[in-house]
Amino acid sequence: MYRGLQPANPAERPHIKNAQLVSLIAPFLLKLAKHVALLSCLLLIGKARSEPIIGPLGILLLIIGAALIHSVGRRLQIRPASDNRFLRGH
Amino acid sequence: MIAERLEAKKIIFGLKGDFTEAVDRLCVYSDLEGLAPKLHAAKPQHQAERYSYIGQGVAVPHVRIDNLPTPELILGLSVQGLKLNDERVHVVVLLATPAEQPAQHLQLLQRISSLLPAIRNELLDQRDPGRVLKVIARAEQIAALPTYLNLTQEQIGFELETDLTNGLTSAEAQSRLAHYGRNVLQRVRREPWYVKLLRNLFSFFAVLLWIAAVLCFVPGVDLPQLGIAILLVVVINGLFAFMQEYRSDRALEMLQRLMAQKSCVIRDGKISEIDAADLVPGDLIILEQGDFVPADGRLLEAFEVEVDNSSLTGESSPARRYKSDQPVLISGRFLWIELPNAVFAGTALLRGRARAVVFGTGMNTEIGKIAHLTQDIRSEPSPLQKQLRGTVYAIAALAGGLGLLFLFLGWFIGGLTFLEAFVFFIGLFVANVPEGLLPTVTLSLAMGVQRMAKRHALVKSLPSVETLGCTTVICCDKTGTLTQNLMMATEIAVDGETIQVSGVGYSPQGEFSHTGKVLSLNAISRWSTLRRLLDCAFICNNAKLEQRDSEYHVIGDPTEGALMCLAEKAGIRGMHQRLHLNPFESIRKRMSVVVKPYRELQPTIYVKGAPLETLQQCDRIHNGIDVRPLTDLERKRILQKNDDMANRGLRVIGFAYRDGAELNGAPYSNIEVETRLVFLGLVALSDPVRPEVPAAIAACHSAGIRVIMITGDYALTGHSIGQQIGLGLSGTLPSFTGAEVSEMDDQSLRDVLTQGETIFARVAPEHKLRIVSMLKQMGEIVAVTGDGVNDAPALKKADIGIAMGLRGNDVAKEAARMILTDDNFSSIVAAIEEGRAVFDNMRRFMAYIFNHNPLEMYPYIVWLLFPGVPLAITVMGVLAVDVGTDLVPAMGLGIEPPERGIMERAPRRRDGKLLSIGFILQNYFIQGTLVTLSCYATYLYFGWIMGYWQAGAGLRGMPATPAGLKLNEASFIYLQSLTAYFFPAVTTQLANVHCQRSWKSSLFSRDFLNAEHRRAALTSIANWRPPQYTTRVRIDYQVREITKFSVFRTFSWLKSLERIEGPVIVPFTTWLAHFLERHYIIFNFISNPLIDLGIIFELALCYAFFYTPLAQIYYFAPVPWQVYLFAFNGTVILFVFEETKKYCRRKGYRLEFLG
Repeated sequence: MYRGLQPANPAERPHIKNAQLVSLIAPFLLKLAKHVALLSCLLLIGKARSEPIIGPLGILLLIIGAALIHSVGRRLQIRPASDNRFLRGH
Repeated sequence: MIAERLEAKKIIFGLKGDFTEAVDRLCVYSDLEGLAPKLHAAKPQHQAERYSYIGQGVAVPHVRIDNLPTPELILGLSVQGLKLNDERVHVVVLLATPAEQPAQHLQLLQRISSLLPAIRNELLDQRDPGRVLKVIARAEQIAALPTYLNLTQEQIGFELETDLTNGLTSAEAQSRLAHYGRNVLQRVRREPWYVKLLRNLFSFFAVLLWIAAVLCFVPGVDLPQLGIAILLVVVINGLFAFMQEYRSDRALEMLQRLMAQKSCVIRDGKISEIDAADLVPGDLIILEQGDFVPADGRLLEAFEVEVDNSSLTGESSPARRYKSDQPVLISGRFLWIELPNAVFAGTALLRGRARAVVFGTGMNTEIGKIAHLTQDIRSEPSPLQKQLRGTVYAIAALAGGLGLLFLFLGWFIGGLTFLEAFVFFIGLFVANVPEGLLPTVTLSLAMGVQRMAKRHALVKSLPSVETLGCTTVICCDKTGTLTQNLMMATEIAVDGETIQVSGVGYSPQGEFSHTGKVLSLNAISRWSTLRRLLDCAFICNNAKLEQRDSEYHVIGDPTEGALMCLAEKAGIRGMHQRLHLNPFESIRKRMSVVVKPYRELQPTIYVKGAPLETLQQCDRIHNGIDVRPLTDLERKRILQKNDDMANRGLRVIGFAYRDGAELNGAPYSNIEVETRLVFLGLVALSDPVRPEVPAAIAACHSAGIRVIMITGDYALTGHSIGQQIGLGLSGTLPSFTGAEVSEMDDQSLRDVLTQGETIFARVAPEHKLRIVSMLKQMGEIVAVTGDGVNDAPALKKADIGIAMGLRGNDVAKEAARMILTDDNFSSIVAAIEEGRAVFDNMRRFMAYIFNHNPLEMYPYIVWLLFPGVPLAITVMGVLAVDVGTDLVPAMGLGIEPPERGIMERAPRRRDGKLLSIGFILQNYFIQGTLVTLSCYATYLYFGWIMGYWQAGAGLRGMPATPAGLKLNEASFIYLQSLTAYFFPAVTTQLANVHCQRSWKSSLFSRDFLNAEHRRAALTSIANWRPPQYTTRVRIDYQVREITKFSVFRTFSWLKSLERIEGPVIVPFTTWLAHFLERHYIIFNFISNPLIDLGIIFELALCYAFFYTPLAQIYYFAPVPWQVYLFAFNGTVILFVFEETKKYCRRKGYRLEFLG
């Protein structure tokens, strides 16, 4: 049941470097998601002012795209903290 | 413990008569209803007397009561004495404790049992409750009671109401499980789940979607189906984000991982394996080597037991544990978790077998208390987060106010419809809210994280990077962080002489020197006493040295490893047959082996141990050539030498031996053989200081950072290390023990912490937490290091908790915000330097972001205030600027390396402003106006070449805005004019981003980059080689043949790069590095690749906005090439302006008003 107290070797943990990389991408995705959501609002206002550029389906796809981008961004934002853990004996 | 729980009104004097009646009288003073009946019901009368009386005129009638919030104590004093059988009882302590906390009950009972008999007479002399309390408090705090007075096993069995042979019955265990709960760590959530859910459902992003959904129901849009679909997306997205956040809190899971899953238990007289979660107080458990201890328990049987308590104490050395019914001698004060006859949940049995009775489960275990502390501490936002949040809210409020003002002006005065005016509102709001600020700061922090990772500091929470930059105090542990976490023998005292020993770590290479001269191996061999001592160190030893990857490691106890290493340095390879081993015991403090040396007829006993305890067993001394009786003078001299070494923080071991015919056939148990020994000498060991630490401490001092050492080691050792590394700002270095910290009130502790640098030794988790909390109360920004579960509360409480990556526990790593991958103190200092650089960089890119806000705002104001003037930028244009220029170039500013002299500045104040009103206004109105003028210049130039505008004419001549701002009805020339205004916004930012990279160094000078960074960058260019893919191809081949083919084809062209590496790539990279070194201006421009990438990204985005279908969404159109070229006028103007400003700064004019 007990595992030995072996030191973790950071050199053998390339995913840590990846975690740092994804932490750079996460804010970009979150900002992009907000941008697309704002764009959707403006397109809806355009529709109200009889300036339709894209149809309802296009707006829905934009919003779903924004939600997906936001989810991926959030996931990446949370993940680095847990991936930085050095597990004992690994 | 007792004094703090005893109230003055519950101290009763002048008790008389029968003991039982007196106890009933005491019960009247209790706050509890019907304490007396409960007391009688809990203990049958005949047993009450037996277990109440603890001897020497003291009795402690006690009871455990369900759902009692806190323990209750009532003290009765009787000078005449109360009659109890044939005894007279003078002191009675009535004790009631919560039934759910048997561990606390036993702790109090044990404390009362050991304390009160010692102060009985003093208590009886008092006539005032206040003075009684003072006597107890002083006895608890000042009179260090070295003896731990055990409760006997029988008493423990009685208190826990269990059978110590057959265990609990299954029925009783089930009943207790229902009463005490499962043996698991419970989640203590301060923030209810629904609050988290609501936060995710109404985040900024979600609010945008809510607005979109609401807009679908607005008359004119009329898309209810779309509205419902968007609402669904909002809810699903919110739930998903909530789930992600909910699962991310892993601190408890890390603690739970330390808890055993299964446990062997004796119930109904039978051994069975059950889920550890089903254990209850009173259960008998069986522990084998390698088991995690499933609950806190008292040892009933123990055979050669060694436990790893590092998860609780942080000390990595194995600790021996005994079955003990006798009072145990523990030097000095001790912690509950150091008790030699108890085992605790979350620790592990390294060796031996044991049987124990459980007295604490779940959250009532020691690890449970840590779990509670860890979860109870709320992670506070960093100073930067607080500042940024406040600033963003303030700017957003201002922008909202301005937007509303213009909305109403446009609606009521300007003659616009509400929707048209609302578009205004959105435009001004988006232009002014630094919506990109927080993500960009996050990016900058992430960059800092990356740079820190290269310097062995992994940061888990991004704001901690900035917190590091304003750290004022580092609370650092000693072992492994300041020292190398190994033992090394450095001095030998034999025959009245001192021999110095050199070496590195556990490597068996080193020199022995005496009075400055190196001793040869022959000289060592001829020095009879020294040789015999080294033989003893080698033979009386259970450790082994093992070589792995050119480094030596110890298998076994580190102290023994250091002695083995010492012997091997002298070439000792003693051949012998071991006949008997008397292992080390903390009670006699020594170990011995009986061996038959090679080619000897008689056996020899070699003994090593604590100097005093070893010397006590000696009656002779080896004196160079012969052996002669040990005189009192020599004893005194040896003890003086021992004290001298110990006072320098060294760990001292004494050595002795005996040989002769009397050992033949005699019993080898320790009592018989460890007597009449011949004393050999002393060896001093130390944990050497890491070589880079003194310089790092000096750097801390020059950076205005105090270092406080908090160690579990002894004060003397800590003090010695502290002096070696240069601690003590004013030349003095006070040290305090954890027990002394307990005695201090808050003001005293505050006084201690105010003075320079201090050492705290033998501290418990609560002491560390208290020190950290106090420092934070004093306004310090505190960084704390730690490696054990015991450190988790302090790590979480600190502004920045730093866990050790190599020897740190998972729980500590989870609680910490930063992990050191090399456990080295100097890495903390490097991280602080990077933290300061991050703060500088953030100011740079914030200036960069604020510079482009006015160019988005001015056109709206001009359009509204001056009817007939066209609108030069639309809401979509504002969004395009926001996404195009805010992000990637700003990221580039985040990776600028630290400036020269950054560690010679005092730490930034916690309340030091990142953004001040002055800073914002300077950037808005100086650079911002300059950029806006450049945009308007290009806009007018476009009008001029297209024949719409002439010199001297106003803006009204420019292509007109469509009526009602219906942009889908806009003319092509108007869309082109929008492009002409937008494009300079991008080109000026290209100059702006480079100008922001320094405060006063010219971009066109060699000093622009600091020398260290330039050298590192050029070296990396010169050493660049194509990536290797061969390993990956081979691995994929072994897994799947199909993959092998595709991977090989994908990267085959890279393989060809490898072939040209020697003839082409190496000469090219070397030439390029030399070229860039000579042409430093070019290198200055390309030394920050992310900025260059950002510039390319901006230009590519511009192309997409102008020449792709995106142009229809963002309302742009291509313009003639002359306009693109002219748009770079802002670039030139900004460079000239900034370089002039920096030149003046270099001449000593700060020019703060220019931003």
